[in-house]
Amino acid sequence: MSEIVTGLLAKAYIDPSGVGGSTWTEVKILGDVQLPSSHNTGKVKERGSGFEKTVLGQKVNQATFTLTRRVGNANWEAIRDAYLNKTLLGFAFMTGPIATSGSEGWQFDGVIVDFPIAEPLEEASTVDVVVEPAAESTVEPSYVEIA
Amino acid sequence: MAESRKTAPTGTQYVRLDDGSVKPIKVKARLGLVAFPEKSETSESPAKQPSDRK
Repeated sequence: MSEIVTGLLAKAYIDPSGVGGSTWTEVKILGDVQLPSSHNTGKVKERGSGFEKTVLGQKVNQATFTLTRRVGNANWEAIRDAYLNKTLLGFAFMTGPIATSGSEGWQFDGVIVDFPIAEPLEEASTVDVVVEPAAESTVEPSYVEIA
Repeated sequence: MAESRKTAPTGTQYVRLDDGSVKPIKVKARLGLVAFPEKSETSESPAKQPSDRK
């Protein structure tokens, strides 16, 4: 039987030491998550074909998520400080608990490129965080599955 | 480091559970190459054990 993944079932984790560096901790104070991934492309135009064709280049990945501004929460502070100090964080966005066999998802060391704080009048203050793979990481972004 | 990008498509990671315990997990790559960084001497995690890295 196949399982339908919803945002409620999916899990996000951070590791301040980077992917595989120390220990994943679940981030429970985020809501919607987007994980856009695409390829750069090059176009091939040859006289021998009636069609323009495409060659694939590098993948372009990003993660965006809405983080509740819970002052005093350890994960809030870790993500906030990673932005303020321009430091790298390990991120894992999995279909379920990372300790469960069969869970899968993206893992990468990321830097926080956007950290816009919203303070709506009558709702929780949130941040729509944007994370991109860090050039300084020694670990390649990867789509993994838990064995 | 280009060298690290060529190594270890699998490896052991660790997760801290809600009860505070730390559980090892085995990761296999579906895409990309997972290359774990060398163990940091300042870490207190069990993930620091090089024998657990592939």
